[in-house]
Amino acid sequence: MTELLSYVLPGVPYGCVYALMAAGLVLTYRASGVFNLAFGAQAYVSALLFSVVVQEGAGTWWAFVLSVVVAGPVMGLLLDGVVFRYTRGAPPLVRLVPALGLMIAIPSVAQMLAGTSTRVPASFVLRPNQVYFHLAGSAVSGEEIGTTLVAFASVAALAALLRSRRLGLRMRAVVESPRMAELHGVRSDAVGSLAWSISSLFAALAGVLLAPIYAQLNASNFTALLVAAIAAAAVGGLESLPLTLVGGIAIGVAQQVIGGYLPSGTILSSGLRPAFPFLVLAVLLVGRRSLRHDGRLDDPLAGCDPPMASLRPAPRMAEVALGAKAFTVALGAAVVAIAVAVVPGNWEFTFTQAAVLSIVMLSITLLTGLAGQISLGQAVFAGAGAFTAGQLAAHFGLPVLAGVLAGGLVAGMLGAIVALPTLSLGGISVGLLTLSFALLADNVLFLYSWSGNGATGLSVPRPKLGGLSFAGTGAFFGLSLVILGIVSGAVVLVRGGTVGRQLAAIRGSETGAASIGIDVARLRIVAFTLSAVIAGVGGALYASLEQSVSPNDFNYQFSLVYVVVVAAVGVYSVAGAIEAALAYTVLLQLVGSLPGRYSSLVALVFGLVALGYVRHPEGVVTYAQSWVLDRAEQLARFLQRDRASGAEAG
Amino acid sequence: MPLLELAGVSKSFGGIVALHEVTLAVAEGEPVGLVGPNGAGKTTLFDCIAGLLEPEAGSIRFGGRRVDGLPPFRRSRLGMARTFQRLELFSGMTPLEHLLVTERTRQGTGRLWKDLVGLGRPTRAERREADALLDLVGLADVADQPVEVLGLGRARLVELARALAAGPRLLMLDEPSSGLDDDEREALASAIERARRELGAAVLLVEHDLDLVAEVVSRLVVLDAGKVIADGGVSTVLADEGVRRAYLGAAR
Amino acid sequence: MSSAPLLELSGVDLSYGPYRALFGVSFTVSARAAVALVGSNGSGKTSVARVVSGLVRARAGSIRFDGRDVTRWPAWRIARAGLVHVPEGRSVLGSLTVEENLLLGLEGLAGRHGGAGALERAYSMFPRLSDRRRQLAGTLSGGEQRMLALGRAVAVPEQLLVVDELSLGLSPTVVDEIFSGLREILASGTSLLVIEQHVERVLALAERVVVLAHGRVAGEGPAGELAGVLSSLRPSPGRPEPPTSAAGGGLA
Repeated sequence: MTELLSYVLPGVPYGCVYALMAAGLVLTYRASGVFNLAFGAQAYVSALLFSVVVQEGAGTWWAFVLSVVVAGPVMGLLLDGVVFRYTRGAPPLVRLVPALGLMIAIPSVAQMLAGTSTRVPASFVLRPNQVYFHLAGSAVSGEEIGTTLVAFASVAALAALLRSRRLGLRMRAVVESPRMAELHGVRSDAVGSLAWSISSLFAALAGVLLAPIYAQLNASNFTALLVAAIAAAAVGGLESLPLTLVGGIAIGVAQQVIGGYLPSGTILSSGLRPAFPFLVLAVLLVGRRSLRHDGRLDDPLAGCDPPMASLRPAPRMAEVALGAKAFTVALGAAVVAIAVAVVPGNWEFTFTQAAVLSIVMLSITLLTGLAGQISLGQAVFAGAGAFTAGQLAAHFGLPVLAGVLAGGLVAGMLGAIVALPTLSLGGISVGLLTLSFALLADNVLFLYSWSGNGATGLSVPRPKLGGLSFAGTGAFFGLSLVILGIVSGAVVLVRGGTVGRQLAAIRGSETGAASIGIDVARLRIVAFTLSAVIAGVGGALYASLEQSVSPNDFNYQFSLVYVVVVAAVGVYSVAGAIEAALAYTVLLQLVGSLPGRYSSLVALVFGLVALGYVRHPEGVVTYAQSWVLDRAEQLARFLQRDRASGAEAG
Repeated sequence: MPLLELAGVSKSFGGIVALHEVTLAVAEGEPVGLVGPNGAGKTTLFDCIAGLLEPEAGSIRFGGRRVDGLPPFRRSRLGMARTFQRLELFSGMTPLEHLLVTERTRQGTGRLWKDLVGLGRPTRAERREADALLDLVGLADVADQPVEVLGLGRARLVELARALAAGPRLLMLDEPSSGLDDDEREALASAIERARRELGAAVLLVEHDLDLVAEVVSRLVVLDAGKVIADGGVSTVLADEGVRRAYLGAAR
Repeated sequence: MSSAPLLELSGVDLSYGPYRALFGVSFTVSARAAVALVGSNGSGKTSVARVVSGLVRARAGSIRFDGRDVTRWPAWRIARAGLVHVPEGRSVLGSLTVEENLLLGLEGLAGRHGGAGALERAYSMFPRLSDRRRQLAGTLSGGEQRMLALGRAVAVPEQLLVVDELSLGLSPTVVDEIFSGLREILASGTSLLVIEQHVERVLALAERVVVLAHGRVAGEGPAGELAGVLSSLRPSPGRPEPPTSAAGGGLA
């Protein structure tokens, strides 16, 4: 009993921080429908700011005021005013991608400005490191007491605020329909901004209090915190604050207890502790009805906003369409020719990477662009393909090309399995479930020697086919292009075929699709499976290109990065995926050739991309293309009219 | 044997009874109107028949076969097609694409391998059928515009055409004329009439516009507070004192 | 009596992205008067309601309300100035109770009219609401929801009530109730701008009629002379779809 208590008590402050984050998440979700995945990053920035200010010699109180009371709400107002206000009522993907982009961008930019920093314990009333009393044999420090009290007080204050007639009523009205609330004389934007600044205050507070957990401030810890907070919020059904508090504390305590009781030294015990919140989240997503769909009543006045830029390419004049096609083909051929003939060796490698990455990106085109499902776990499928090829080559001497195929098949099976629990889910819930799956793979699945083999990884040779060797980068580039061509062709055929058109119908309306006899569940499994096969093939090819891979090459961050890149460039076309891969690898290569301190530039680009995406959810490149084509069409019309009037005159 | 046969169908939501022991039969090819005050349970009844809701008690037979418990897509494949009061169109697709995918689905399940060898694209015959349907409902001029840019009236006609493309034995229409103007209403009435003539489909029509109802159906079922309070010929039912009190009011 | 009209639109242009909805619309509503806005689907009636209440902003032209230029005002400010817009379709906040719906509108007008008295006025006109004051508005029947939406205009006698397709999807008895409510509201001194598909009913209520066609005012006059104006409503054969069709109401 004492032993159990000695595990339970230290878990409480952790759980309180989870709950604090969760309460903030619930508030913005309720107020704007945005699942703010950048929340962990906001907490990180405040924590960093706090430690920097303290290390500069200012008192903790000043540091607290600056990093929490000022920086928290200011960040919230910025995010609301610049990004999320514009995603109101947008489809789930459009609400998610900017948050993902910021989640990647904010920490790196902050780190570039501040450098890595050790954390400073934050406590204002009590001395953080002093032991005040012992409970069931464990020492209770001022920091732990302070964290617990602050968390309880803040959540209670928020609950009271939401229950108040003036603000609570307005907030509920704005959540349901900002437009309708305005017709009742409510300033929806002001209410939204208030919600964002309060919730961001919570993130900042959690970031500074987070102290008990990590000695070093680093961004990925804050992602783990975020997922734990999401799980806590899920316990409260994304609605109830008291339940959220209970959920947070329960998760914090359970983590400690697991850590205490499982035999130490195994992958399961070291992995399960961090992975526990992901498991909880996955179970809750599947089990709780209220979480399954986005829970947003559709706004009857949505039509007042200018229509979202059409996600399908506008029909073009035949001449213009033909010209554009010819131009694209010529451009592609030119790029390939230059890549093969002129560029120096490391750039040849970069282009090969781009071709291989294009294949992985195409898996997103199929799943997200065509089937409308958001997966934040595509890197897992790529990893499964890579490790299958590697294991088969190492243990059975299977030729790599056969390994690539086998990798696709194994990934496909994994995809079908992952698809099953997502069938009853919709929108962002599918993204969260696949994200927890990705984190689970990172922390447990890929660490075993029979799969990713932990930090050591696997080595995979370059392929051979009969007498033909693809050991050289040039030859491998050719091989990648052939496979990319096959995969692109498959995606195009599926999109124009029965399955693709049925998937498009499902994306439009699941109820409508079922009403004409489409088996929605079966098609969603087909889409997930096919997408996973493509990702697996891409991953296996990547492994062979790099000749050695480890789970780090496929961690959850890549899943997020891929989705952001493809969505930003254009998730509805094959060209979008290829351009996305090309842009991404070239960017990495360029930044890599700069001095180290510029490495955060990549993240900065992501931030800008997130901002641009809000305005052009059809994809930046697609937007640019249609802009050019619009002009070309105008020109063509002008020329035709000219000719017509000339003919008349003659 | 009737095409559709409901026996003792009941459904409630959190203690509020929406349907109470509804018993109803529709013969092959028969047009039936379903009217009643708001909240009488008409849409709930539709959802129970189509499979979006499961009744708590009672049985539903379609073509002689028990269908309660089957998911909506299976019932659709047996020959039920419907429109929705709150539209369920495929956003981003054009009316033509709506019909093409519906016709393909009617022919059976899509196979991935067929798509991969290039057999998945719409055939010329499908295209001809779709064009004919678009002409029937008067949408030929907007065949290639995304449905988002159509007004409510024409969007309802797209739903009607989609239901017809599924080749139904039973066509269920949920307030199809709501929000339509006079011309669109005429197009709707003639489309229903021709669907009956050419497809021989039975029609179940929920509608407040009694002129349209009288134009399309010969038999009227009145639902009030989840119960069938009248069932019979249109003029008989409309003359019924109970029906007048519950539904028609002073205006008639 | 002041000679300036309560609401005055002059040369209002409106577009949704690339789709143009209104072309130079001008008309006025005088104090204590009822004006009917009629026209076929896609003619821009809903767009007029939206631009008047500030939900969408005019691209050109001006809108004056109660002597002030409100063209660039946000919707909440126009609402607080005394204009109630009951939009088409779902017209209340479903996640709030009946009483909260009424209170929300009163909040912004603190002190202008007595709070408790305001609620009682709404409840006495629509007693059904009084029985359900703690019930979530989303669980009300369609007719009760419209009554609640009207109740807001009754609670605080507002200056102008804009209603869009109030009778859509309602049974005849409920439509009677709604229209008698509108008559009472008019008698109490509130002006009305009524958009309605049921032309006969609205003609009995309004003294002036504005006819819209393809986003333009096609005619205007006293209700008695409408027969002549109505003929301009008939679209030309073939009926080219104007790019304004997106505006009609979108997909409800």
